[in-house]
Amino acid sequence: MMKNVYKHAFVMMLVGFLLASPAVAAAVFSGENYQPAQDFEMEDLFEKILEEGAELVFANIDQTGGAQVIYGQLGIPSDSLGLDLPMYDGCIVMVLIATYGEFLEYVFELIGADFFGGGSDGDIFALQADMFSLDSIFDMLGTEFTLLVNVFLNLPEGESRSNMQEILNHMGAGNLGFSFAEVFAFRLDQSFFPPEMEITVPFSSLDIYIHQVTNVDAVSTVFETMDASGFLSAIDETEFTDADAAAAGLLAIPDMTALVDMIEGFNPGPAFVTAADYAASQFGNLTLEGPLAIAAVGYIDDQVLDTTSTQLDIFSDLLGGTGSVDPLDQGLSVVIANMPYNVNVTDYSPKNEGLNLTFYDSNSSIVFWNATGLGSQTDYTVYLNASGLPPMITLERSFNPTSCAVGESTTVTVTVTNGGTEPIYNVTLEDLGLSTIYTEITPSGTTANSWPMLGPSESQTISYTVTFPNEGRYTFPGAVMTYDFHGYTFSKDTRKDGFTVTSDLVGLLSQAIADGWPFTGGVLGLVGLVGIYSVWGLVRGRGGSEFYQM
Amino acid sequence: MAFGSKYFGWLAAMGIILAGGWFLLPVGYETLIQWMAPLMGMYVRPTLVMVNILLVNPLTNPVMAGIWIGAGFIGGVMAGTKKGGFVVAFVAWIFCIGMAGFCLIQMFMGGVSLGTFPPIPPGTSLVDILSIPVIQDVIGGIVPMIAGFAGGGGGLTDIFSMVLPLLVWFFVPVVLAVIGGIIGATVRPKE
Repeated sequence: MMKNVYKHAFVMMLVGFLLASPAVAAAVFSGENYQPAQDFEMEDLFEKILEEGAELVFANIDQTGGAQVIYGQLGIPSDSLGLDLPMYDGCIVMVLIATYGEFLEYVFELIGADFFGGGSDGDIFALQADMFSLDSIFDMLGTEFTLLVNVFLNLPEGESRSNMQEILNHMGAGNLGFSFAEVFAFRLDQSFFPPEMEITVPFSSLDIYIHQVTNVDAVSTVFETMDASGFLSAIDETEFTDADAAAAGLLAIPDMTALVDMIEGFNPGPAFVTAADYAASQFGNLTLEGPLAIAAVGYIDDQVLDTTSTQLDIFSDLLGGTGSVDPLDQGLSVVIANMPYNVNVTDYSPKNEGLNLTFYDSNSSIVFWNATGLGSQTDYTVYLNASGLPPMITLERSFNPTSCAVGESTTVTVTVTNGGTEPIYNVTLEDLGLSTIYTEITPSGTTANSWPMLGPSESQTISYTVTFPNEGRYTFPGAVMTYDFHGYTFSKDTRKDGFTVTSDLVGLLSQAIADGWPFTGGVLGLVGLVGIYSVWGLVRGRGGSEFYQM
Repeated sequence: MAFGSKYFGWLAAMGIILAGGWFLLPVGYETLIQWMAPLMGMYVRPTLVMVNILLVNPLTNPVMAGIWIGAGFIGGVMAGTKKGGFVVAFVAWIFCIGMAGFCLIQMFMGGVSLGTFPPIPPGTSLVDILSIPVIQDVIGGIVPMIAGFAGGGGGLTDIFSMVLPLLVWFFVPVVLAVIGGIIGATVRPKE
C-alpha cells in the first residue's frame, strides 16, 4: 500500500519541527533582522530566534490527500504564564502536553515504530510472553491525556511544593482556567540511592510534580499562552479542536541560565561523541537569560485534496483563516507546505525567489515562505496537479443509539462514500475489531463486505447490531476499508470509538444479587430475619424503658 | 432492646459506608470500571467500591476517612453504649471485608479469562487510573523500593516496608469507625 511510503519524511519534520524551524528560517531568510543563509551560524541564529521569537505553520499532505498541520511558536513567553514571578524560583522546566483522538498512534505509526500494530489495532492484550508487545502496552496505557510536569532544582521540599501550589493557583481560575489533580510527586536526592550503589547526584535535590488537567480543553488553552500578533490572528482554533486527532504542547523554561547550568553540571567534559553532543554544547554557550517558552498545536484530519484539486490555500483550507495573514510584529514567521510525491506542484503564491523570500524544493516537494519578509498576505497557496491522489472518499461510522443500558443494543452503521468524479475498484470494508476484544459479544448483521466498484457519488453500507451484557465503555477499533485507484491500493479507517453502556444502581444490584445467588440470598435472608426479630422486639416493647439522653 | 439497637446501628452504619463508597467513588476508579467491566462483568464496580471503602489512607482520601468516622458515630449513637458502638463499628468493618471477598470471588468466577485485558477506552488513559489515591500511595512506596533493589536491596525488609502502609490503610477504617462509634455513644448515651 502507498499509505506509509512517505511517512518517515513527514514525521521527521513533525516531531522535530521546533529544532528544524530555526534552520529553515536561516535557509529562507534574506534580510531584515537576521543573517542571510550563507552566513548562518547555528548559535547566533538560535539565540536570535529565542530572544526575538519565531512562529511556524507546517502543513503536510499525505498520499491519500489527508492533512496534518502544526502551528508553533518558539521563544515567546506569554504574560499569562507569569514566568518571571517568584513562584518559578527553582523551577527549571515546565511542560504541558495534551493529546486527544489517536494523535500519538498516528505519530508512532508514521515514525514507523508500529507500536499500535497497524491493522491489528485494538487486538486484545494478552500476557502470554509470545504475544507481549509494545502495541499491547500502548493499547493498555491509552494515549489521551493532559499533563502538567514541573521540575524544581535544589529547593527544600516544602519550598518546591509551595511554589508548585502557587503555580497551580496561577494557572487556575484566575488566569488560564485549569483545574488540576496530582498524579505523581517525586523527590530525587542523594538519600534516594542506597550507599552501596555509589551514585553521586550532581545536585542537592530534584523535585518532579506531575498533575493531570481535569477540566478544560488544553489544546484551546495552549493557544491562549501564545503571542496573538502573528499568524494566530488568522487561525480558527476550532480547526484543531474539531479535528479527528490533535495535540498541544507547551515547554516553559523560567530561567535559561539555571537550565544551562544544570545541563553543564551533568556533562562537564567537552568530549563530543555525536553530533547531538556538539549541538548541545553549542546550545550551552548561549548567553540567554530569563524565561523562554515554546508552544505548539497540531492536528491530523481527514482528506482535504482529491483528484480534482488544483490548489491548496494553507490558511483558508487548513486553518480556517478568513482575513489577512500577518507575520509576528517582532520575530520570524515561516510557512512550510510539504506535498506528497503523487502530487505535482505547478506553482505557488506568494512567490519571491529573487529576494530569497520563498523557496521550492522540487525533490522533496516542500515549499518555504519567509512570511516576515513577505509581509501581510491574503493566504499562502500551492497550485498543483493532483491527478495522482484518490477521489474524495469518506468513511463514517455511526451508532444508534449513541449509548444504552445493560442488556440493550445499538446498531452500528459504517458507510463509505465516493464523493469524487471517478470510480474506485475492489472496495473492501471491515468492522471486525469489537468481537476480537470482547469475545463474549457476537454482533448480528454484516460486519464485512466487498464491492468490485464504487462509482462517483455512490455509497455502500454495512450494518450490524451489538447487545451489551455488562456496563462499561466498549472500545470499537476503527473500521477499515481498502480500494484500488489508478493501479495503487489505498486504505482508510475510521477513528477508534468508545461506546458507553450505563447501569443504574437498582439494576446493577439486582443483577449482582442474581449473579451471586444463592449466597447473596442467604446473606440478605439472614439480615432480613435479624431485622424482623429486632422489629418484633420493638413491637413487644422489650426494653421500652430505654431512652436516649438528649 | 440492646441487640435491636446494635442491629439498627449496624444497619445505619453499613448504609452510610456503602452509600459513601458508591457515590463518592474517585474518578480513577470510574475509569477502571469503564475499562474492565465490559470484560469482567457486573461485579467490577462493587469490588472497586469495596476497595475504595476498605483501603483508606486518611491523608490522601480524607472523604472516605470521614465517612467511616461518621458511620461509626451514627452507629454509636444508635447503639447507645461504648461497648455497643465498638461492636457496631467492628461488625460493619468485618461485614465489608466479607462483601469485598465475595465480590472479588464473584468477579473472577464470572467467566474472566485471567491475563486478558481490553485496550483502555478512547478518551482515557492510565493517567486517570493513577489519580486513585491508593494507587498513588503504592507508587510512592514502590519508587524508592526500586532504587533499593538496584542497590542490591530488595529483601524482606523492603517488601515489608511496601506492604506495611497497605496494612495500615486496611486497619485505618476500623480504627476510625470504632473511635466514631465510641464518641457517638458518649455524645448520646442510653439512660
